[in-house]
Amino acid sequence: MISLREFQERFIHSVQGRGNTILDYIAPGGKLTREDSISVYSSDYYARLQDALGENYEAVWAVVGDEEFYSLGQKYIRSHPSTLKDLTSYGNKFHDFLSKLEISKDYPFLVELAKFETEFWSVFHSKRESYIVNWQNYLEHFSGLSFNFSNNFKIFSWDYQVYGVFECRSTGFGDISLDIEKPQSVMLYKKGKNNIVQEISQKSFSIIKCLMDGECLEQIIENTEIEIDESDIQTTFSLLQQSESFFPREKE
Amino acid sequence: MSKDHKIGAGLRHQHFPHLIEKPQTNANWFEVISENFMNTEGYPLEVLLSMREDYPISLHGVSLNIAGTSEVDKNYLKKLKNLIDKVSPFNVSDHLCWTGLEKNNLHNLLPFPYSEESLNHIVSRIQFVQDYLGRPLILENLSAYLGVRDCKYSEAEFINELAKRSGSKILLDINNIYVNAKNQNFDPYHYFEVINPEYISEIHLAGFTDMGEFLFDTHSCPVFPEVWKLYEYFLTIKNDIPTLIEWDENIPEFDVLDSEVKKAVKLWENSCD
Repeated sequence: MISLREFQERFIHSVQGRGNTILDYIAPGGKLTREDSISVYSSDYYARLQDALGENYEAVWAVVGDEEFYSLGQKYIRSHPSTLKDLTSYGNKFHDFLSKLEISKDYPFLVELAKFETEFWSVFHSKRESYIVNWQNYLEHFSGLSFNFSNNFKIFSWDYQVYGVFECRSTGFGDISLDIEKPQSVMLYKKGKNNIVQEISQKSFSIIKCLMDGECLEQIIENTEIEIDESDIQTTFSLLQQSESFFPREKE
Repeated sequence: MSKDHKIGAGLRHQHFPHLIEKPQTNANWFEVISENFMNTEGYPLEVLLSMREDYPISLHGVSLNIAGTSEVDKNYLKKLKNLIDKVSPFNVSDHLCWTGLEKNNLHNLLPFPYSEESLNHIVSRIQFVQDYLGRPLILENLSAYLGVRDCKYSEAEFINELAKRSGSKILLDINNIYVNAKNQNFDPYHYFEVINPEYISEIHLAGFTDMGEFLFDTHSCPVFPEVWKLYEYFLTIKNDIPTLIEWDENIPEFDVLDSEVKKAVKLWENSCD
């Protein structure tokens, strides 16, 4: 008998189609041949990872269709063997993988959609964080304040209606009239147990991005690259306050 | 129906909306797949902790890789211990199998030779894990679609020896015994004659799929009559072991699972007469 280590190496090679060198050491189950009994494990391996990709990238699947998604999944699985202990985050390089394929030209929003799905599930599995701030205490020096943001808070700006596509992931696109080629910005955060996705204007996106980079309101207003007015600032801070995902760096 | 039984049900996310409302159930405890809660601090964990307020919980893993020959994954153990600290489970179990090597996790419960080398290797890993977790590890006999040739031990002999040398306990999956008996052509009742009941800390029951050429352990349907008979027979040997109904694919409404729990309770009650 070969060593346990060698048995396991040969078994993996056989399951992944890299040479069926385990056959001399196994006895098939039921009415299976030895090759068939290895195929049971092989089929299960590819099906399990394909299912995980399908759960984690449901929107990408809805866009490209069953056949294409299966084909993409099988290619990804063969080039990205899992080293994870659970499959909830399997596919975290799926967007990179897609970006190198022709299909990302057919669907120019596909890579961003895959990235958004990764972030969406990451926020879903994160701990609740909620910051209730008495903003009255900060009004006097508000424009000089800088802020901290929850790890659950993310913003996105796309050239396409990526969130619009994401929303159609379980219903399909049949009855939806979606102008995909229209820019879209959103903020994603967690409130209670739920993920919230809120559409925001490009100006709000720019303001929040500067705030997340550590700039205070004064600096943002002075920044000539961003044309904003008072109403943009009010709208943005109102949305942020609703999210309960940020708080002033200075102590109360 | 007696309330003193030790029959439980597998807790799966499809039943969260039902169970979070805290309905009456026949189940007296619930078991979860450890890995489904080790990497989340979100809603799934919140539901589990809410269930923990009303029911004993056991943790059942699928990725410990106790028979693997890659290094024991300490990061995994750390996360498992963290979950144990949060949930205070009455049992912590995994499978007597390997799942992959360093750069390849096959995400399956894989068979290995029941040899002296395997025994020594697994005993030392179990002891490491038990020292780390500060509690006995419970390991489940797996279902397999192939056997390994020229093994020194039968599965039941191997498991007994492992428990004796390592201090670990056994999770006896009676469906797996039946599936293996059919796939590998042995008498399932003989398994009960060999396995030492004193080492058994938990029983699992589930459904399989008849694929024609072999039985597949899918957990996708009710427990088969043949498996209920085996359980009934086992209850004549020992009837005080926590028993779980598992259902992992084609998961039905909770009531269907709960009715399987009820069947197990009835058999247990009969065994007490």
